[in-house]
Amino acid sequence: MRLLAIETSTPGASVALVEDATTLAAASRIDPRGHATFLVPAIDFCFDQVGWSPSALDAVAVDIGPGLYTGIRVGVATAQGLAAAFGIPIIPAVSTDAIALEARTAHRLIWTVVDVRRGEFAVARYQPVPGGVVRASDPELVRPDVLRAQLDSASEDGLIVGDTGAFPEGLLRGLHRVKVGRPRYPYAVALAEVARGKYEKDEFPPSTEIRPIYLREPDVTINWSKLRQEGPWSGA
Amino acid sequence: MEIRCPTEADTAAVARKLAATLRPGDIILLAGGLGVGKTLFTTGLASGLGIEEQVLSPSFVLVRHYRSGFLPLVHVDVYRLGTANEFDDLEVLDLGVDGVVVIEWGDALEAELPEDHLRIDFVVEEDGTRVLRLLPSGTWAERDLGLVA
Repeated sequence: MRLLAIETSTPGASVALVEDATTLAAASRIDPRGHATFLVPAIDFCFDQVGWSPSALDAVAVDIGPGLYTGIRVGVATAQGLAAAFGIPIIPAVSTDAIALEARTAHRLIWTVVDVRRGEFAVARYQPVPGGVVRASDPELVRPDVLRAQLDSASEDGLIVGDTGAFPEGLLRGLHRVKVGRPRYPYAVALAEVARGKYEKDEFPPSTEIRPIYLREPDVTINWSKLRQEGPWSGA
Repeated sequence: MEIRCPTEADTAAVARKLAATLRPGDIILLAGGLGVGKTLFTTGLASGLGIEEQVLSPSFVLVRHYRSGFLPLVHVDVYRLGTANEFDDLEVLDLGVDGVVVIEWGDALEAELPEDHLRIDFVVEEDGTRVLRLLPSGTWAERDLGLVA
C-alpha cells in the first residue's frame, strides 16, 4: 500500500511517503508555528523525490492529536483535501501512539507526553509488547505537578518520552523508577506505521467522520453583559 | 498601582515607559469602555518598542501584527468574540511567544488566559483624566513597575 503520512500536531512537523513497510521519502521541520507554510511544499518535495503523483496514493494518514490546536487543524484539513480530491480514505492516528511506537523499550511502561499549551500536557501510557506497544491508558490532560506525583507513585519501571523539554525546569529531577527518553515529537514515519496497521485491519472511519482530539476544556462563553455597560452596545 | 493621566500624551508616555520593561512572551490586558484610550495606549507602547508602522485599531480585523520594533507586537481586540475557543482560534498567544501580546477588552477573557499577565484598567474621571490601574498577576507581581509611573 502507498501512504502519505502528515504529522503536524507538535512543533516537530513532518511528512512521509511510505510503501508497505518502506519509507521512500520524508521531510521534517521543528518550528512551533508555521506548519501551514511547511506542509504543502514538504508534501510536494516528497512526491518529487519518489516520482509519484497524489493519485498513486491508497490512503493518507494524519495525526489527529492531542497536540497543537492549529497544527492539528492544518494537518486534518490538508488530509481531507487530498482525500476528497483523490477519493482515498483518511487513516487517523493519535499523536501519543506514534511517540510510543518510536520509544521502543523492552520492558518499561512508556509514559508519552504531548504539550497542549496553557500549562497542560496530554499524557498516555503504553505497555511494550513484542513488535510494538499497546495503549494502557488513553490521553488525558494533566498538569505537570500532578504528573510528577503520578510518576513518583508509579509501581513499575517506566520510560517517559515526548515533549519533556517543555516541562517546568527540574520537574523530572530525582525520579527513581522512571527514566527520560526519546523521541521528543511524533514523526510521520512512525505515524505511517501506526496507520498501516489500522489500514490493514480496516480500522478507520469514513473521511467525513474524522474528528481531531483537542482534549480542550469545554468552551467558555464570554459574559459581555457585565462589561459593555456604556456606549452604543450597552445592554447587548 | 494607579497612574493619573490628564492628557492623551500622558497616557502614551506611560505606555512608552512600560514598553521599555517588556520581555518576549509578555501579555498585557487592557480593560475599559469605548474611547478610554486602549488603542492610544497601544500606540504609545508600539512607539516605545521602536515600531515604525502606524498602529491602527484591531477592532475590525481582530488581530494586527507589528514586526518592525525591538520586539514583535501582536495587538488584539476580543470585543467581537463570543467564546474562549474563538480566542484560541486566533492563536495569538502562539504567534506572540517571541514578542508582546496586547489584548483590548482582555478582562473579558482573563480567567482563560495565562496567569502571568499585566492587566490595566482604564477609568475616566469627570474632567477627562484617565486613571490607569495596573493589576499585575503571576510573575508580574515581582516586577518593578515603579519606573512606569
